[in-house]
Amino acid sequence: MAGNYYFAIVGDKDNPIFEMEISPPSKEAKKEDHRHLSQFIAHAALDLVDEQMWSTSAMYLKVVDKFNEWFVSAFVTASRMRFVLLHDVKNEDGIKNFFMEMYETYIKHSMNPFYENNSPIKSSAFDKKAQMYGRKYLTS
Amino acid sequence: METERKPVITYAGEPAVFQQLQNGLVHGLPQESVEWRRSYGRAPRHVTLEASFEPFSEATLVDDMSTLVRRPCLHTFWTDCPDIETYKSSTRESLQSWLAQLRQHNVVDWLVVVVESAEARSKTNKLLPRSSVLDKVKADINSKHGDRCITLLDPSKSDSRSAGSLHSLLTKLRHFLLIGFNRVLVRFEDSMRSQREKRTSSDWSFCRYFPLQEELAFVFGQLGLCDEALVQYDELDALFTQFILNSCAGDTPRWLETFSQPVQGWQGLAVPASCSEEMRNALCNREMSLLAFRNYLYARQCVLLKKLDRTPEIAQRTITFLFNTINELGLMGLEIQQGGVACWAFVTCINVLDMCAEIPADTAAQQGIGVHTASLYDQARLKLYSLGELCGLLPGDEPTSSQLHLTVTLSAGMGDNSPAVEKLKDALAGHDAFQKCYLELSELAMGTYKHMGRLRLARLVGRQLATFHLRLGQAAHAASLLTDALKTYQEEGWGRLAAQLLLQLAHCYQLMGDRQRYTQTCALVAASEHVPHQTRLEFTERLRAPAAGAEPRLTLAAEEVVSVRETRLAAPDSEPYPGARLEVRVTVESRLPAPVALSRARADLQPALAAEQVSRSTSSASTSSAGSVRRGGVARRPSSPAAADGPAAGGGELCLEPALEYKQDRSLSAATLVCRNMFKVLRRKDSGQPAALARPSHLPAAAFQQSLEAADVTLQPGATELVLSARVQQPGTYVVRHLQLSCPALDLTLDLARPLRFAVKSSPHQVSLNKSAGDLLAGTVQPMTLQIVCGSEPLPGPSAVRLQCSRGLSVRAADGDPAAPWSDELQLHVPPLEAFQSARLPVSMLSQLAHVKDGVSVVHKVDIICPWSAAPVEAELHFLLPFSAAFKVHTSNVRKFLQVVMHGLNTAEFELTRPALTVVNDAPVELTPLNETAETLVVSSETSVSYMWEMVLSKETPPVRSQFSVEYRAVDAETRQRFKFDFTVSDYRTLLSVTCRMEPLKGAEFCRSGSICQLHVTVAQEDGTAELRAVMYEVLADQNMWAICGRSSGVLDMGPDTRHVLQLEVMPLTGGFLPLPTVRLSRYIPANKESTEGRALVTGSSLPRLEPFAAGQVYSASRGQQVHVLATSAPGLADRSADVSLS
Repeated sequence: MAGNYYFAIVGDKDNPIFEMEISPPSKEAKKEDHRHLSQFIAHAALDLVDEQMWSTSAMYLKVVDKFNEWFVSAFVTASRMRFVLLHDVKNEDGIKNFFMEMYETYIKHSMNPFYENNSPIKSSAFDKKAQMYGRKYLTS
Repeated sequence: METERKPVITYAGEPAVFQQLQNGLVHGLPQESVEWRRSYGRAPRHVTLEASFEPFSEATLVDDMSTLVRRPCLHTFWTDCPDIETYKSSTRESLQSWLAQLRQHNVVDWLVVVVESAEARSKTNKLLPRSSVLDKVKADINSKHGDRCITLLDPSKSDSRSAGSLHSLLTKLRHFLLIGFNRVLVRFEDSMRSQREKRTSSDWSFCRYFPLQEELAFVFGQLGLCDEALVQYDELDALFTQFILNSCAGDTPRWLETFSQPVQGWQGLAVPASCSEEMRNALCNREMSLLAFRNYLYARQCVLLKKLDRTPEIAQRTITFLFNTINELGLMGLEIQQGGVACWAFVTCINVLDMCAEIPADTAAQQGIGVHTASLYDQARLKLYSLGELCGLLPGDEPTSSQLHLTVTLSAGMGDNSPAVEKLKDALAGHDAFQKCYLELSELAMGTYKHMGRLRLARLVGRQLATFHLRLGQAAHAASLLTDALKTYQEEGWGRLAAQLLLQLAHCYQLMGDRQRYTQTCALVAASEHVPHQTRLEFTERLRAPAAGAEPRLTLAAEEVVSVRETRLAAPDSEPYPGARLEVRVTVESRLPAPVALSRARADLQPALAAEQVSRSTSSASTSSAGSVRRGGVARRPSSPAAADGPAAGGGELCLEPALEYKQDRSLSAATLVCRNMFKVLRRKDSGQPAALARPSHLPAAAFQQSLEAADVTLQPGATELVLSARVQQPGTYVVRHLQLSCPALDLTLDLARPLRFAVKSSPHQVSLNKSAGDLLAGTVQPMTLQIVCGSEPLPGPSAVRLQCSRGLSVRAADGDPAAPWSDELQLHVPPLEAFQSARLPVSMLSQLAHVKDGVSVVHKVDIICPWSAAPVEAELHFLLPFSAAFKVHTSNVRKFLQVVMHGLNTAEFELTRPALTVVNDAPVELTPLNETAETLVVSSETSVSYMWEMVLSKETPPVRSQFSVEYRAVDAETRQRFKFDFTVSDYRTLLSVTCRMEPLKGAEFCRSGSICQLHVTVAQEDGTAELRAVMYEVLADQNMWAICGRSSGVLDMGPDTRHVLQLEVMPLTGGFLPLPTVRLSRYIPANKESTEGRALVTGSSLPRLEPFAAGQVYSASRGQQVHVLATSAPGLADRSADVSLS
């Protein structure tokens, strides 16, 4: 199911540590301004994530918020890292798979002794993985 | 309409009888609820039944499962025939035919009611059983249905019997109605389910199915089971949603085309109390738009939720409803007037919000609803904004004619004039109304979000509201909103969002004309890495711009723009001293994208408060330990002046101090580091103070009164090292806390996170006397150096330092004439010295070698008298002695020998030559050397040297004072020195001699252990001149070897040439070579008899006493002798064991 996605990982100090846009290959990249909007929405959705993560024992919170044409899905790890995904189409299973794969990737990344927790992720390997899973589960 | 959905009960028989009762029954039925036991294991529910009554007709019996409406659930037969005759004649027949009809259609739900009038009852023959009409009826119908036949007493009477009878009729009626109804319902549900299973077939239509399931919902609603009804609608909702989603995947059923028609109206959600048949018909006729259908379905859900008292859930569901519907409209690709959806969503939101407002305030429901209403307000706001955008109503826009036309079109499609629609129409009518409405909604949304703790959402609304305010030109409003939002984003580290806000804020402040804040914000933008490079450059230009015509200089806090990486003294090893030029290197990192020329950079220099001052080291502390025990190196200084920054300063730093703990004997027990500000550093970090924006810098008034400066430097992007310098005149401790970078019209100030602290002090000159490697030795020339370290003040002219030695120590210049005399004072010339230069002057020291009893070293003091200090510097020198001397007198009967032993105390070797021993006093003693006079002996700690002389005595033996002297030379030294050792020998003449001899008893050849032997002791006076009256002897023997029999001591009278021979019986206790018992002689002074007679006690005491002889006065001839004792000859039991043990 094609659609536009914006993925962000938010650390437990509420700071963003990773962001990425996932668009179907056919569409051209979004304008800079649009990217800000995605980030604004992702940031605001943290309120809802923080509220809803206590209501379930699952890590995948499904759609937590809606904003204009955007849905916001979220995933909370045990260490309260929050994965936030903005999407304009419903794709519950794909998103769940994407989150699970990203969770695993993130955990592997965080085991790197040179990576300090909660610091921005600047790893091209991580980036590639995220793109790959995005293509696999979201935009394909 | 609702009444027609009640279950139907038909009546037959005598209509007149029934109609008389009808009203009572219609009202009586719903009075009590009945327990409904349901099929399929569903939980039993209590329901209230209502029913409508219809005359019986055969047509209603047709089994048609397409609808529930007007389905009879129970058939009744009414008769009031008074007696059996009448019954037999007419009623029976009609009853029978009625039953036959029912049976034909397999209907089992029926009831026969026989109404008995009072008189009829009384007439009946009570004697004959089964003679009543009821009995007859029961007999006629199958007996197993006997309970379906009941009697009703005359209802016209109002006594208790007839009331009870009516009650039991109602109960029965309810019971059978429910059974019948359940049967109908189960069949209906089955048929409905089978309909649903066919949904994949091509000719299935949702429009046909929907009314079916809705009817079920109606029935549940009718029964008061609103939750069950809601479930039906929810199922329908889900089913429909699924169809839409599937259609996106390409699986579009034909009926869905109904909903594919363009949407013409965008009436908002209205929740009517009852369901409109019109809508149902429209659906059945496939004339309904998707939006209208969704509206209808959701309205039904709302009605049920309201009935269930779950209004808050409406608010919650509305959000999902809105999104789903908009999403579906998009998925279906429906044609709709631009803005229509926004109108619809707005009106829906407002309607739902109105509904929520009906919930009484201050209830838990009202509390819980807040999060949802906030979202609804937010939605309404967003939709209104998008409408405003479309219709040209945003501030600053003027609607064009096409936009005006659009407004009209939209208004036309809004439908009936409900308050919500009115509100929207008003808002779209003009700028002011639009503004008012938008601001109101925004404030409501923001306020509610804040109230519900959703701060981030509130910030998002706030930011959009700020944008709106900006368009209105209300920059101040916008600025406060943006500042709030900025704080949140900065705290949480969302740099890109913060950068966006900064750009907006800069615009705000520019509009407001707030130069201070504007410039500050520009600086922040220029320094932000999240802003495009071009924009940053532009803002950097703006920073430079106010330089042009600004009259009051602006001071900006520059923490966000420039950060200090490192501050240090340029020459950290040299201590700054008054008057010196002080250089401080500050490495700053500029985040500005372009180089900035600074007219001046300066750092303020403030004297530290007294409490913070580094303790000064005094001159005495650094020099007193000079000398032989000095541990080398210069005295401890604060390791580097730059390192002295820190304590009490930043607060974030650990303030560590060394702490030494000593044991009682003053030896070190532990060395630890103590953190003085632990609680300050480790204190809990609360959600810290965010970096405030546009904060005017708070500099103390005294800042920059004295400063380190540099002029004309360029601040490059990235790191720049600034070298700031100043001349400091006053000694003291200084702190550098602030840095100021001045552009032509702008001052950037920043506080140093770690203030630089250093001490400027006039350090004193230092003098120390240092030895070379190894210990100082007395008696030989020792090279030493006098070190003079110049303090912060230079020593300009030649000056002199005087050394004053204590007695026994002499000094001379080492580099001068080797023949120069030794003296105890020396004047040394010091060359001119620059500050912190040092000079080393070599000197030679010689400590006289003297015999020190039991000592290994001598201590000397040197006073160093310097021209620059009044008190002399005192140095304590410890000289080790190279060797020591001791003498000993040896006796051989009456001959005497003198031995002098030289012990080396040091590993250094000394050659000894030409020993000499002379009698200093006039004692008539001749000393005959027994040494080789030419011999050279070497003494060291490993080798001792002895010299021997025989004393040739004459008659007189007064004490001899003698002096031993020997020439010594350290093995590596050139000159010889003479070592002298004075001593006195006294009481050396031999007075008595003692000889012991052990003999076995007569007859025995050997001494044997266990048998008595004889000890012969001979005591002879050797020196006739000695005055000896009495001598006491004591035989001392080892008690393990000898057992002395009889007296072992006694007093002997002595005189010139007296000779006593004593015989003692002694028994050896063991065998072997046993040392002889020794005999101790002591001078015996008897008790003075005269004293008892009252005379003076001068000459002696009343008790006898003993005085020991000096070592040389008694010669023991048999000392060291041993006697051979054989083991016992007559073996006894004990001895044998001893033998055994020996062998």
